[in-house]
Amino acid sequence: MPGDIIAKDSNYTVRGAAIIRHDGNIVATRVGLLRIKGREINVIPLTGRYIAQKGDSIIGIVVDYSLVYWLLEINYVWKARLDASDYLKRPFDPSKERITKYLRVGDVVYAKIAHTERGMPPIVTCRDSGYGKLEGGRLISISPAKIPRVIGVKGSMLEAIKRITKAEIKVGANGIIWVRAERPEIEELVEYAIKKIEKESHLSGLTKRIQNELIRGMHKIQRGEWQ
Amino acid sequence: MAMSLKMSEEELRRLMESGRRADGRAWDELRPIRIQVGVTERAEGSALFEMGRTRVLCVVRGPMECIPSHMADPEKAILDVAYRMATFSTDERKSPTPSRREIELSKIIREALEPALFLEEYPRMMIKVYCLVLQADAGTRTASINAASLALAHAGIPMRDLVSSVAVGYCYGRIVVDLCSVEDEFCADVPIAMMPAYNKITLLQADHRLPIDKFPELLEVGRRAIERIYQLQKKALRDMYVSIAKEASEGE
Repeated sequence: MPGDIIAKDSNYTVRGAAIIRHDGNIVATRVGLLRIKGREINVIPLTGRYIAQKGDSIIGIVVDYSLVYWLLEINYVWKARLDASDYLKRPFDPSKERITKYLRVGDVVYAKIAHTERGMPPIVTCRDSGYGKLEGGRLISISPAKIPRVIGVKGSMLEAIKRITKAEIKVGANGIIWVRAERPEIEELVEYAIKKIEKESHLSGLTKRIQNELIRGMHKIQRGEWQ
Repeated sequence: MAMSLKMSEEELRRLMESGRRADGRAWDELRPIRIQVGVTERAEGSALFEMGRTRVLCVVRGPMECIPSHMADPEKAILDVAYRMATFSTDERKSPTPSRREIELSKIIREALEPALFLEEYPRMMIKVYCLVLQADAGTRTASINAASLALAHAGIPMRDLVSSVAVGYCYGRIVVDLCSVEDEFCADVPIAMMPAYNKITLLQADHRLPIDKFPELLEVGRRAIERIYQLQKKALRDMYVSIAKEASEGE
């Protein structure tokens, strides 16, 4: 909690933005969970808005476009800019073709933050493999601070959800998650599970509980009992 | 509906001199405090702070794009505090037009909160703090500061410390803590806000004459009261997560 003195010993290495040093003490600046790994100390925030960082994978919704770029709503202070050439992975000439041929307002894109600058809108790209337009499925919006929990330790939670439900899932660091499954009931089940992770993100033994719920849910769906 | 307590200056003086306060509290006793963190869902942070019959709702939005954009500071975020009293917060209907007093208090609350924040980490952005007084019975600025610091913490905005605040008064030779409206009317009122973990004062006002030699004692009484509020604030913040834990374990 802000103002809580975590340690008086300055031998610890401080990680993350939720901690500061003051007068030899290590003090928390946000509401979060304390993680101590060896001599490394970290506070994992439980609340807060998404702050764009270079390298983050995010999911954005096209809200506007110009001749050569789209603007994506990414749940951040500013809208992100996606250049047409970064999306198409080739040069784009606006005098020969129109940008709306590829993405229109309302389309959903999985992209990576390529560049951020203090006080400026971020620039995103789809150049690396795996990024691009997301079709079908549904979007789930949760608090960005809870995203690490959805992914789990070394991806364990996400892997468990994918394994049990066989759904395609893309997780955006900005708090937006895209799910596409064979049946809408399965998408509903995943949404339910993710909302539960969001709510109980500060509790231990969560992966196990969610796994059990998912397995139960899948049985129900197969028997046609899911509502 | 209950009207607020009315008393003449003479009555209050006699009561105080007989060793009692207007509402029967001890000299250093706070009014009953009730805090709830996370009362609205659309905004990033929110808190409700009640101190006796004073009740303040505070909602925080942001960091967001600065509007109007010409106000944006390329070096740091703008903290925009709006302190307002609801039309139904007082005995007589309060005009919804922002008064001179409301604008002044907005500035005072902003200056009490700013030292706790790392505004330089959010260039060109804006953090909005709305404090709405739902019911006024003295001490609305201190209640607003208490609510606002909780709402900011709930919004996940990095803070050096929670800011806690209380009004201390000097009445007929007595130092009293957390004035109610009758005392506020006739006594010297000294609102104090602090970051208790650093022992730093972020707000200190005195709009009335009081003997200077009493000041150190007054500050010390205020500091002790603030420490109690600080603990209650932390408990409220923690309780929000504990209550979720309870629900989860019951759902098993």
